[in-house]
Amino acid sequence: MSRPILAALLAVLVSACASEPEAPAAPEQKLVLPTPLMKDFSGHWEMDYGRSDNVDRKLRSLYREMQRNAQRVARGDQRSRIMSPELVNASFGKVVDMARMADMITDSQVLDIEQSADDIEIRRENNFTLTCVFNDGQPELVIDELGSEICGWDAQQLLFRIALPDGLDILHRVSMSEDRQRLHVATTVNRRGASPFTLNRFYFRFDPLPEDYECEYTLSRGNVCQTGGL
Amino acid sequence: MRRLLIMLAGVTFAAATLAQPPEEATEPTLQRWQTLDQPQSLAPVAPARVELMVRATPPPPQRALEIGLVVLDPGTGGDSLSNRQQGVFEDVRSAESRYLPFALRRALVDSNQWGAVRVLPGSDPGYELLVSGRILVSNGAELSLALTVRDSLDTVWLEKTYSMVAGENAYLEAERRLRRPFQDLYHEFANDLYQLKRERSDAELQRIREVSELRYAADLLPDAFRSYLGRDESGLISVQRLPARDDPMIGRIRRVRAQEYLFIDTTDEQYAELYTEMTPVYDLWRQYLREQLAYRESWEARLAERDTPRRGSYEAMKQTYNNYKWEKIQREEMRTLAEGFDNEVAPTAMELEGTVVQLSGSLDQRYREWRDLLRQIYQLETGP
Repeated sequence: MSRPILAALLAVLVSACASEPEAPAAPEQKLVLPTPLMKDFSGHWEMDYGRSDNVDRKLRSLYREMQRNAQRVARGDQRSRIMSPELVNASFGKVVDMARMADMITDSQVLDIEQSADDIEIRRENNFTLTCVFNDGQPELVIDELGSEICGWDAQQLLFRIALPDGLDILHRVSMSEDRQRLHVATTVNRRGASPFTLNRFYFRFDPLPEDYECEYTLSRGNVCQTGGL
Repeated sequence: MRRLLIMLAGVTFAAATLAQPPEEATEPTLQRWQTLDQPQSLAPVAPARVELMVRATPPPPQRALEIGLVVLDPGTGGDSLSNRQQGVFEDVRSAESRYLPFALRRALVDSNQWGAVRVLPGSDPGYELLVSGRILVSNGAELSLALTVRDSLDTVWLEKTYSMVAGENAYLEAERRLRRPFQDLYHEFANDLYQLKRERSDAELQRIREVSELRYAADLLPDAFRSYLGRDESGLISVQRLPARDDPMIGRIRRVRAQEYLFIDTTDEQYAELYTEMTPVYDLWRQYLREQLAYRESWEARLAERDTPRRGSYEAMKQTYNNYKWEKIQREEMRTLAEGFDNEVAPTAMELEGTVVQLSGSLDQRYREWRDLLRQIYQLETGP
């Protein structure tokens, strides 16, 4: 895939995310990110439940909003059947499915991130590792049998898009606070015929207990550790 | 079961004996049948085992061709990303490319049908018999090697893909003590090569040896020896004329070659060391790979049996995501194992690499010195 196409693809993703009906985060939670473009996300991160989205609360709020919209439409056009209560319920059912998916995909409580000038690995508890090779700023596309992935920088944010069969589309947008103490992962689940759903997860940095030994994994002896470095 | 094994051993012995040519007395390898105190459930009674054809005594000098096995092409031609996607780990393949020629060498040496058999760091077309090849598949469950054997005349003796699927118990320690994983593949290759040698007369083998020596000499002193060799209409190397038996230059060439063999034998020892040190880790690696493949197959079978949830439903999306997640986690696991393999093997391999480079450099230097010296002698003898 050529660079312009990839750039366009990322631009579409960015705009798709921006045009969502939901606000990605409350104003006080909005992270202010400085230049330069690439940020160093390295470190250990633990979920901050207080700041992260509560799926049930978010769904209730969405349901009320959908009902209000339906009432407005019904008042304006009595003949309209577009937003009948049945249709609101059916439409809301799809939103609930998307929300459950987003919740399942982002349920890792701990993230371990290793980053170099060339690549990044985001190890997620109970999930697969998100990896991205920076390729001098050119997005990397990986196509597998069961799906495809593209990743790259959008200003100070790192984007991972995973396209799966049946039109299921997942976008992770990773950013960091200015003081480098908080990480924000906004995950949008999208599917043809359903409204996208974005779930915001926040993480705070923690330092694991310092270890006086270093370990190296070996095939026949497992982890081999010794003090003072290997 | 013990009786059955002894009977099978008898049948195997008879079959192997009949397969040998009458002029070359042979006996089969019986080591694996001598260890019979295995648990019954692990007793290996596989029908399609390949017994190595073994000579009781070394071959007569005129039939003892020397064999060079070049380090294999690791078969990692694609970029890192596509290799990773196909489950090919470049560092592991690099180690395998040096390990597998030594496994083949062992079979050839054990057969007792040849002269010196050496693993070479690079190609040497003047070798009496040169084995080269490429690793096509090596994933623990299957090994597939594309091998080519050429003689010094450039005649292709063999161009064949050898493939074998490991048995269910191939990596159990009890089984490994009896038979190395993929040993049948190595045996098959050694037997094929032996059969091809059988088809050639003493005179044909003698010509291969002569041309080998002349090619080596022509490489060392092109001006003096180029005219001894030519190519026939089919493109094969042919001898135009032979040097006199007491030609002092040939005597010198042989001394140089003996020096070269000393170097190669030293590098060969390094390969032997790599083979010994790498074997337990490599077995574990292949065992893990095999188990992963088996697990994957059973998981896919279970997946196929599952009811397909309604398209677009949460269950359907969850299944789609989990399939992808499982695939990714599997790959990560493989990568961790590959790193564990490298952590154990890399120091040896690097040491080997260092030694080989050092030896090659030294060998090249000696070559240059010898060549200069020989050229000087040649000029003195023939005049300006």
